[in-house]
Amino acid sequence: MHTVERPTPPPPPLPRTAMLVLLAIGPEERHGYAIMAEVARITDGATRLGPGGVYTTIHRLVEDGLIEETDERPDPELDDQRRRYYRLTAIGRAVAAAEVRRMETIVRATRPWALEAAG
Amino acid sequence: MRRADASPARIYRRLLALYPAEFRARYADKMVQLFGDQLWDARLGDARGGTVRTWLRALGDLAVTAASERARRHRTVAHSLAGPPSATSRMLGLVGILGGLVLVAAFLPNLPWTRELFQLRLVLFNAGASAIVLAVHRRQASASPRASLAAAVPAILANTWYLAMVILSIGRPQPPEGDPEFRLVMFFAGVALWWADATFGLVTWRIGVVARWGALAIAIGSILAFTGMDRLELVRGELAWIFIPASLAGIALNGLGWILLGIDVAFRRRRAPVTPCQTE
Repeated sequence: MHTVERPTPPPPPLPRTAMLVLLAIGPEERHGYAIMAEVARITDGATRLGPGGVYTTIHRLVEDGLIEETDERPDPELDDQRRRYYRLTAIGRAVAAAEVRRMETIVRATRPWALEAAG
Repeated sequence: MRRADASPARIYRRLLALYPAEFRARYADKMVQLFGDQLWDARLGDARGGTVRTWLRALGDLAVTAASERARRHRTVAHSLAGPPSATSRMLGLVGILGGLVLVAAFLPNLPWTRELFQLRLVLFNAGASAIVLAVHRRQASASPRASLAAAVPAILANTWYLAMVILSIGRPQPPEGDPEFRLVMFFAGVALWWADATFGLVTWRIGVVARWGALAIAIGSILAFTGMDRLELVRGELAWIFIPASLAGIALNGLGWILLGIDVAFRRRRAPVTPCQTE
């Protein structure tokens, strides 16, 4: 029987904080403090998460299989043993890519008039 | 290694009690460490009042995220318990619906059988209420064991006590001619009944596992019904014209609540799964 293959639909958008944490982890392995600092950096200081914001979001992303905890440390000599590192899973990378594409589309479509309107 | 001062870390750790226990067990140490790092940064920074600002931010962050984590846990629990009920639960639910219907039907005007079968009505109602409490407890015991027990045990005991009093009152002269001592025990059984039903409704409504509006109706109905207790006539005085209708409305509302819970327990179907991130 002939079947028509349909393209896989993009995953549904993540809540804003979850998206920022996912993008902040990026290709690295990061612990809570590094994630918090990276979120502040990529948002130019506009979003500053607290411990609750960081870890409730990590908890949800771990449960959804988008990130995972890792025992490996980039440099065990220099680091606190109690720290836990997180990295993106394959699904997490796909969702992060979908989020970036979504933002790109919005920026491409609105940039000309929005920046002009803002002067 | 950066370390928070012992006392701020200790205070912050205590505040983490606002989060659900399983979340705390997994993330409390990491959160305390991260808070310590933030305080350290604030002290090293040039800005004045950095420590106070860090504390204020942490408190705001804690209030918002603890509330959302608890709400999310309730949604997850509600989802995990959203499967179809067992045959026993369905039976208990049907008994509950019958009990509630009988209670509400008693308010239909001028139906002779509701007077003649007064005790039978109360027996059916109390048996129905106990059946619903048992069915609801079976459903939510695994999710909130302490809350569920605190709600179910008093409700079942009070309903059983009242049921026993109703059965004992069969064949005795009805008020106001009845034995004053028996009436006093009956009065306290009634107080216990409305109190326990109200507690059950309020706790069940808060847990949100079963039909919320049914549980809320039971809670409000029980509180209103309490105002109609015969011994309260001594303190009601001239306000009887408010208290009597309020109590009747309360009893009807209570019956309606049991019917709603009974329908929820007996006829619930499985719901579609919802992923946590999508529920925010």
